[in-house]
Amino acid sequence: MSTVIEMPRYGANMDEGTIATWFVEEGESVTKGQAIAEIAIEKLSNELLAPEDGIILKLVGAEGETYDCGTPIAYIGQQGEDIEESTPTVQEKSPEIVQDQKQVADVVSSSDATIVVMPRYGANMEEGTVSTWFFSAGDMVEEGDVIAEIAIEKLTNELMAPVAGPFYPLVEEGATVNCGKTIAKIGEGEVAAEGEVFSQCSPSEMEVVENNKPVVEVVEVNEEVAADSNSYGSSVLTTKAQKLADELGVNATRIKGTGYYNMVTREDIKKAYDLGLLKNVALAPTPINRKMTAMEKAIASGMYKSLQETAQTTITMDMDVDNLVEFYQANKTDYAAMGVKLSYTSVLVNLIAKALKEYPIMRTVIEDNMFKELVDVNIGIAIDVEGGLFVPNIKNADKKFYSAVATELAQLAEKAKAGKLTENDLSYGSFTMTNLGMFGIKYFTPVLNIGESAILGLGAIRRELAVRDGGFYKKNLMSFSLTHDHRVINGAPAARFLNRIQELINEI
Amino acid sequence: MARTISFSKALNEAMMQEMERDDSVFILGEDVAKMGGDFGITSGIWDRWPDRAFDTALSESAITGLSCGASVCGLRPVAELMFADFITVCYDQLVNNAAKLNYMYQGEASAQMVVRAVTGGGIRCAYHHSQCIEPWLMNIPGLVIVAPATPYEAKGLLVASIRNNNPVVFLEHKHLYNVKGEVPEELYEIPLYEAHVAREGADITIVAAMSMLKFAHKAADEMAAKGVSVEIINPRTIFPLDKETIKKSVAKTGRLVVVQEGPKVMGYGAEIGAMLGEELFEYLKAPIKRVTSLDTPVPFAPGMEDYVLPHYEDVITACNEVMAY
Repeated sequence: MSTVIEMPRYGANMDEGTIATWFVEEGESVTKGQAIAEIAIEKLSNELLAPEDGIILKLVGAEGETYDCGTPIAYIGQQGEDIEESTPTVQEKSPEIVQDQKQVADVVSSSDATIVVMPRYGANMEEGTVSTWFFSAGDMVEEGDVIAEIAIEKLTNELMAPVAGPFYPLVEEGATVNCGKTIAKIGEGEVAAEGEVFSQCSPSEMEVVENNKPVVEVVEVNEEVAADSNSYGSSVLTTKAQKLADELGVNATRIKGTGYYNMVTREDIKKAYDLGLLKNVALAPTPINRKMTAMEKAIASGMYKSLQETAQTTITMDMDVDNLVEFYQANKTDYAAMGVKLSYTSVLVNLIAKALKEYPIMRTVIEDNMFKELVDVNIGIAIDVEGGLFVPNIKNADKKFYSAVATELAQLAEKAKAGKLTENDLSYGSFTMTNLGMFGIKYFTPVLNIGESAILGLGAIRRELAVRDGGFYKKNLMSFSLTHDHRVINGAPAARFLNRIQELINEI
Repeated sequence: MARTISFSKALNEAMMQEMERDDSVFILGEDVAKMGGDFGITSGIWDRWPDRAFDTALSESAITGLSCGASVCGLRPVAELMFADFITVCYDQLVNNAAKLNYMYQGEASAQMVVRAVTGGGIRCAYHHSQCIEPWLMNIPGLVIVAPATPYEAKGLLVASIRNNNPVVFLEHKHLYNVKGEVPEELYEIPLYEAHVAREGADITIVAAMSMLKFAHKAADEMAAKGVSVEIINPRTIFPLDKETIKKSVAKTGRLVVVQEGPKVMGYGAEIGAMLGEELFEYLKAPIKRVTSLDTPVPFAPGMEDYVLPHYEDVITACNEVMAY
């Protein structure tokens, strides 16, 4: 008897295909596996292979014509064999295929039960492994329920129930089955042993191969079961599996283990996790509590109060600091010889003190609906210490020379680190400077010190290319971020203040 | 019906009953016939079967060679090596002949022989009569190494060894000869290649063979008093090893202490440890511990011999360490 070659189904969503080219003619002998036709499906084309050795007895499908999957398009056999011919017909699209992202089981309906076969997810897929059944024999399933996980080499797919009814798996979990072979039935009726629907699977290849690899069985979500550790023995997870579960932040006790004593192994967790079955059971991480220190409490309430009670806004400006860099580089050695540690901050304190003297608005605060000008130019410097931050201020900085400011700054820093700052050091500030430049920060929005209306953030000094007089020059730039209380200082005065600092830098 | 008899008597009974059952069984060795063996294990056999008990020349090589040849001819020789240490001079016969025959002749010729080898230290026998030789034989596929720890095992395992078609080196620890225990009078077999769970427990697995089993039991009692439950596995057949029984136990407890009389290097403890590291890593809760003798020859001086052989206290230390890890 001859063998019929049908329009193949390369995927569950494929309803029909077009014979683009016949590579063979009637009467030609072919060998098993030889490409006999090119089949076009929408944008793809596949080669149709001869299922066995033989002679092409008849080509009933015509090139360029489209046929439903399963329609006979050719016959192959031995010389002189009869053909059991059926005319290609255009059929209605099969209604049981539901379009969905998930694969719906290919089905063959018998009188009483619906057969579920191993689906073919791609033209190269010859067999698949039922890695997990999600229902047990006799469970009622609804159409569209995920009934199985099908593994193909490195991929896994979910198989959905094509119809509702009582479910009966017909192969073991772990079984590797050729595409088209019956793997389950839905319904109570008897199922014929032959459940093949795809012509490309020859019967000799359809034996069920037992696969010994461990598979994950996921117990249906049931908190009571999960809570009852006796369901799985005393040790639910292996030592390393527990570690992995902790790392992933998942509760893996609901997986049925494949290890000794049904313990859950790393492999079980990985598999379930990859399938997304453990994603929603993450345990809430336990927070680590620590008491706040007095300083931390003061900083927290101060920062909060500052932002609640003022109208802070920040403007930024990139300044040309070539002069500043030049001055610092030229003088630091001489100062060091005098025992003074000159720094960019200390030089800037002197310049900014001068600008502050000229701009009393920057030292003005609101108190009891009155503007109150803080007369002294006392510049606070934010100093980072272990466990917090101090802002001691340099009193009357406008009246001090570079060396005096540098020396005082060094002393304050020393005292801050030793925790020896006095109340006086920390009080009566009228302006604050804070530096994050050493971390490479360019711009930031400093928060006002309580009782002040402006704070200047110093950014990193960086070398950049600048254009001047039609040429490129390298230039040292430094970013300044000025936060000001808009209730007191409007944008333009704040900007003028920054411009004045640039002028002073230019004049060093 | 079970009576209480000694390990020695159990061995003797096994041979007598097997010789009675099977005409192809015979014994040979140095002074095993008329004298009944240096340790008296074969006493009475020559009296009963003078043509099936042979005193040999002082040549362990000849004893094993003769056994090998006789077994190829269909007999089932049970040879005695008065001291297992001298298995070194039988090495070619055992390793290159006996262990290979079954494979080379597809089972048509096999060295169905038992070499009873008197092993172990602790009785002041000095360098050449005190060694644990099982590591010397453990990587020779084709050989079977059997190591009974009780009189009951001595009889049942020797019977199984005589009936086995592979060459069996049957290790008899000298220290166990006088140990008494219940042994059935009738003939019975304890299957080879199966380890025995000598005590069930949940927290620590101790694997111990031969004379070390007593340390294991004592340690289990002491640890139980502290609330730690010890499971004891007696391998019975040291090679090929019953990996599954050991794995099942350690999968449960997650902790392993191996007690082995021989030196630490390359003993059964090394093999079990490596095997578990390879196949059961994810179940382990603590590093694997080995309690062994020192890596030195066994000295003659009693104080030194006691110093070199494994100490019971070390078993407790190891148990405490794996629990504390």
